[in-house]
Amino acid sequence: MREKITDRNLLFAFFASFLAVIALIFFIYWYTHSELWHEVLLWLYVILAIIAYVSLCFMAEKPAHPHRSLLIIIYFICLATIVLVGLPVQWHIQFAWQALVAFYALYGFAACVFLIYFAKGLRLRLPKDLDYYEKKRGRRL
Amino acid sequence: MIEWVHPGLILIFGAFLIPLFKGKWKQAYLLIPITAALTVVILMLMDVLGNSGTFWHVPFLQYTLILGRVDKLSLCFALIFTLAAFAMLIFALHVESSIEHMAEFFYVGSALGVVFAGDLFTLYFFWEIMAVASLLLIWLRRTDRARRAGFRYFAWHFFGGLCLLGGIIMYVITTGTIEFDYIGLGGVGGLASYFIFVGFILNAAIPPIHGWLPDAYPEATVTGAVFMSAFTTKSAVYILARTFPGTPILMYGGAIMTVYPIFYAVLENNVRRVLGYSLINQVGFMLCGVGIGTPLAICGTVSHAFCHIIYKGLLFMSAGSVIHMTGKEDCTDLGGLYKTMPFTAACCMIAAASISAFPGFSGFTSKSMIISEAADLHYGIVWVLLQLASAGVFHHAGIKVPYFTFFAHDSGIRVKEPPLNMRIGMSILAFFCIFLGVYPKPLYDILPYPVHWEAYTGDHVVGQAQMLMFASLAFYALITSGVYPPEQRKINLDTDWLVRMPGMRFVWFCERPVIAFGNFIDRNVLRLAGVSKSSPHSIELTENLVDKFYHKGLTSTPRAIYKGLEPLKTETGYLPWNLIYILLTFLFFIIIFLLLGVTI
Repeated sequence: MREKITDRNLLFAFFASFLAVIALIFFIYWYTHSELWHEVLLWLYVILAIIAYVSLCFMAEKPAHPHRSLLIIIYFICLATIVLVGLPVQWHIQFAWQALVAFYALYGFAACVFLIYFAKGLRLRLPKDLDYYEKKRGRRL
Repeated sequence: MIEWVHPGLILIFGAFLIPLFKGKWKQAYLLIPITAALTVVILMLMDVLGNSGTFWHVPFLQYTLILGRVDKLSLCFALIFTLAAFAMLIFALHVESSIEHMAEFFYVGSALGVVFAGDLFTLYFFWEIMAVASLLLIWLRRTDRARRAGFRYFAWHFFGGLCLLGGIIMYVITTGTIEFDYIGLGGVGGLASYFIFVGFILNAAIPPIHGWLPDAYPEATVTGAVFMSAFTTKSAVYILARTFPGTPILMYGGAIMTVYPIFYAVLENNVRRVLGYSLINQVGFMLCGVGIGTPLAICGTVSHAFCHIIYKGLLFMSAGSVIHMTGKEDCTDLGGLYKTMPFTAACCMIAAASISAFPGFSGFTSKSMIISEAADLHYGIVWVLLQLASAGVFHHAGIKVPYFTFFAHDSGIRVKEPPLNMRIGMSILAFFCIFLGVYPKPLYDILPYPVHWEAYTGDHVVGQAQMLMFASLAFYALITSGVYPPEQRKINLDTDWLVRMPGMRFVWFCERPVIAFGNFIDRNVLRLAGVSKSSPHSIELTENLVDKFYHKGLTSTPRAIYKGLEPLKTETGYLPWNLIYILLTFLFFIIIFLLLGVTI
């Protein structure tokens, strides 16, 4: 039985072929080690990150996007590829900690979690009612 | 042959003709001065008009004012100021109010005046015009909150302006010259340099004297905020890069400045206030680059300022379009707008990707210079703070602003795209965001020092992309698990408290005890005068004479001018004509001073 061509299938087909292109170019680069293919790979990598960014915006929507589950799959495949392709990169080490495996990914994740928990802590003290200053002023003057 | 034309003065004098036009003619006229200024700057860059040296020496008392100090640093800033102003003006073309356009022209013109100022008096003069013109852009929102925020904004800048003026006077007395270049903290100027420094960093909004920025910018008019996002802070960055490069306090202050506003931006509900905090965060990167002070860091600062003006303008434009169309500016009220405003949503996402230094967008090609220079010089703490801020800025400006405005929970609001001129303005800036991200070479060529910087190396791209995407993973994980703090209709305490609470008490002190004391003295002096009663008749005669001279003689001339101008008044009423009257007086004084300068 033939499956219908839907938005969902089309989306997935585009993404899968994009991944295949990346894999292909990765192998060409691995085989030839030429500057040009390195450049092409770099830009495909950038596009991959942009796809992840856009799908994030749609997938966390409420009420849920019709293709939510597919977007989540695409997002996580992108993240995995971003880490995997990053593994053989020659790092320019300026500090000792940059040599850790996937250091930047870990740092970005940890930084954001820290940020949100710290902001949650600040929320206990900082927020005031919208007419906070008006009230204070009314009492003093 | 014309050697050099001041692009700022083209705008300032061009502003006075705005009230003469109406409707379509006004829209057409508005584009003329800004196009002329942009052309002049481009001609300077192409070395048709003078592109280095000093021009327009004007004798003033026993000093010489230099209105045009042109070198690579000032040209770079002049280019981005005029370019951004061009796009922003197109964005603002639909605004009818003449006075708002005049304020914009004065604002941009005086920012260009600051950029080209070669001496401290000229600098101070344009510096203050900039403060007043931006104040008008806040007040023209014509709401009570804008009025109050405007007064607070003015109080901050009044303080900064006084510090600067005091510093300038001390500097001129100690050094004997009004020309300036590198000043340096505690250097030639001694104590004066500290005062000048405070005046400058207040405009750069370094914590804890940043309270005016997130307080006032969200209250400005939709188009006014777009202009304000570009000029005040970046002219301060320019002047700091010229006078205080390599100051360690700027490096550490800048690093703290990148981190501090992130937490506020996460908590904040008002879209433009979130953008205000992220503006402070981005200026922190620039100040850090100024503080490091090496040629590469200065180039990083200049190019980051260049890109920043573009993407921050675009962010304020897209937020402004949403406010213009929906009338709402809180994250809690917005959401789901991408369905009917896809173009604005796309522009907002391009700007958001640029501000978070996403590879392929403009922030990436400039910010990496500063961070990499901090790493090469082994400033470990600074590097960690800057990277934390990079992840944080992706979080609050890169995801939060587009996500809560255009996606998130559907608010049910269905509005159309903004007017055509707004869309054109946005697409110009969006084009430059992508262009400078993909092909930054034209920008690198006009930087003040020759740089050989390759942003697109494997480790830069991979490191940055990993960091950003895993920051987004943290966002996704926390928002689906409900840990992410939900938006609240609240205000957050910040250093604007300083002006709101102790400042109000100071005003109360001036209004009540000081005036009561003054009245007390008045009364007693009058009583003493009454006791003497030398000759009441002669006193009355003198009083009449004084009254005649002051209240009739001196005021009749302006009244006559005003009577003559009155029939010409336009739809916006008397205010533009009052401004022309001020200009005439001002020109009169300038001419007198110039004559004095020539004759003495």
